[in-house]
Amino acid sequence: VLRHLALLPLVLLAACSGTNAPARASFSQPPASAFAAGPCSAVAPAVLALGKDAHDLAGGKEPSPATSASLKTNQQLIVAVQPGLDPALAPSFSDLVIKVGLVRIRTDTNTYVSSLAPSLMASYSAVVKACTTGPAPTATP
Amino acid sequence: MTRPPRSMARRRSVAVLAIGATALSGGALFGPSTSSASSHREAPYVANDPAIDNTDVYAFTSPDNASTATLIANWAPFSEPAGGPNFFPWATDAQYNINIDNNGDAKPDITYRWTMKDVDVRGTTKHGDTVGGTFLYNDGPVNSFNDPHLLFKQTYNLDKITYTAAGVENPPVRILTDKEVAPSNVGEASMPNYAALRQEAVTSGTTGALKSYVGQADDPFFLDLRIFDLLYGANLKEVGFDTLKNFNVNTISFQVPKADLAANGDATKNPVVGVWSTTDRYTTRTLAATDAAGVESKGTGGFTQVSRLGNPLVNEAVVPAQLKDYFNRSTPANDGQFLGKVQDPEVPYLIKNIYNIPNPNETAAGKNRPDLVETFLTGISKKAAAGTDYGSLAKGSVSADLNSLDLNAVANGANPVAQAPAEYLRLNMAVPVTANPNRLGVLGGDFQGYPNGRRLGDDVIDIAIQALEGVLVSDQPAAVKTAVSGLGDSVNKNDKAFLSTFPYIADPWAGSSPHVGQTQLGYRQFFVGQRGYIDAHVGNISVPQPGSFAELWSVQPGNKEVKIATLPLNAAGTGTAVYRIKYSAPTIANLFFKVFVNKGSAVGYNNGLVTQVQSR
Repeated sequence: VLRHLALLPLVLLAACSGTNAPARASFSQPPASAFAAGPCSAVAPAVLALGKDAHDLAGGKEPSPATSASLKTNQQLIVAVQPGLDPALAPSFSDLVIKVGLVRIRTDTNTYVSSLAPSLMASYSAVVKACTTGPAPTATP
Repeated sequence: MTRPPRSMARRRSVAVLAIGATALSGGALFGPSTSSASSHREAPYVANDPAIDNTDVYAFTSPDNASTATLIANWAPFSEPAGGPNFFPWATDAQYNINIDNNGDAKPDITYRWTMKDVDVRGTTKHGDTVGGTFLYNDGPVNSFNDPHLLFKQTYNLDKITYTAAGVENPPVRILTDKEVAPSNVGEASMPNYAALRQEAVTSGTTGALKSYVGQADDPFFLDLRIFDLLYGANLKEVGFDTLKNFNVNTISFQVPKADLAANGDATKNPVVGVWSTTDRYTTRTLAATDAAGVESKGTGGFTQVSRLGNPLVNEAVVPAQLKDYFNRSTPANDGQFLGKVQDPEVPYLIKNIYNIPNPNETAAGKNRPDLVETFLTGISKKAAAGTDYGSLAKGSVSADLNSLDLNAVANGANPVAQAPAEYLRLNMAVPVTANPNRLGVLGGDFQGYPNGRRLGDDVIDIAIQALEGVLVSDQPAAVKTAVSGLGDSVNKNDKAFLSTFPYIADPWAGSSPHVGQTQLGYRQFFVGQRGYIDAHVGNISVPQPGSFAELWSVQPGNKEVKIATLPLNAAGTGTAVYRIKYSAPTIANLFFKVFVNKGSAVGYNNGLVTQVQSR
């Protein structure tokens, strides 16, 4: 129940992220300790960092070099745990990796548009939900 | 150089993509029934023989003379305007060809062939009363082609070649004899009115309907070639610099009545033609012996094809290195052998490896890339999509009638010509001229643009990247398709404006123009919007010079550009600078930097992409 409550503002935030509203509510994320043991816990810092990036972008911020570096580094950390992921987690992890990739390539080619941010935010939220409320995920050998 | 604010450009491109996608899935477009369809140093051999290196081919309905089509082919990539004293002559031991297939059998039905000749008096030039020879291209200002100061020049002959039913060349018919080749644009001191010289080289045929221009031109191709370095280096950052800016090419621009190109001379019933250029060299070249004075190298043994170009980027980015020379001497009739390369291109693998985005080849609809097969090898038609004319291996996926030669009457009816997959430009000459061309061509909803022929302003890099990344693959996830539909190299137009009349291609850069090392530079700009202000960052100049500085500009409504500030960089020009613009209320601004680099007396500059950013 606590996990659900912790996610509520996040879900609301994701639902509102399709606009370029200049003023936004403060961003709330679950603690890394709320992530289930296993691959979720292993990538919790990366996922949370991507969430922060997604939030900034959804707020209308242009990707800075620091954002680009964060997207690349944290995407690679998630890619590293993808092999052997529990099927319950694999789709949301894969989706987040793709969405980060799409933002990265559009950023690197100077063609980034803010409309990419809500989709990234939604994918981040789905991973958080899967890792904090889903079945206990485990890595298969 | 004003560019639309990014968000505006995006909205427009998304909108036109939607139109294009709808139309492409909607059925017949411009088939006969409506009476109304790069490559610089890309292969080892041609990289060492620039005079015969085809760079690009263009084919389009002449915008100011709709009963004609204009065909343009370019050679001699990266011609540095000040590259004297020999500059950039055409090879005189070569044949420059533009080929037409008008019945879809992948074999040439017509070849227009240009052959060049030197008129060189440098060896007999007197110094005073002495014949001493000279190294000079010209020994004074040149005001006309026949100006005695022009010591080296070239002329050309143009022949039209048709073929027997067995594909053997008929005797050539001479169309133009000893016509002027516009000389290389040496510089303002040597050629004070180059435009007049160039105009002198625009030749009309006896009927007036045919026009030919042979000479130097600005390279009309625009792209950031560093994309290859960045693909090697697993990072696409820093795209946005036109690598070909300030470089020239040698060009042939040729305008001809559409009926001259069409099968049976009927552009109404047979409006679609295939167009590609080739260059031939002698099979044997005998070099002059060591210490042998008074003799020159010479070619013998007949001609063989050494360069070929139809669609842009095919030999550059689709054909693997070991096959590139072979591709250049191959003919369209045998292009079925390259089917596998089109069906499984390398670029999506590279992109996936760098960014972890899906390779469209791995989806059910993208397997064997029927979208690319149709674009490059069969042309776009319902029959091509159905596999009717080209067989199941070359089956397409875009069910619309646009530019396949199987739309021509000669491919239908009682004795249809058997169609064959071939890699060349396909132009449906029945598609009317677009008043406001979209640089993304068909992907942008503009059916007169690439891949329906190719206009000078078509942004084939962006089109190719988007196509390779699956924008036409039906089962690509929507989010992926939306994202890849805006991909590109951030170079959206040529460095020089094209002409509205023949020869259309822009004048060459002069040797006296600020050029490489003076005006070409790359740099980084980015903007960070915060509550009450925007920080504008600039720096990391690729060719820093002492005295480099940046100007911060804003694009106001009506595309009016207003300078906000001048920012000196550090003494060496290697520094970065930040300027903070303060706002009392949330503001959306369209900003860009101009970066200037001092070098001697010349001041060059480059503009950054207009970026929309908001303070909060």
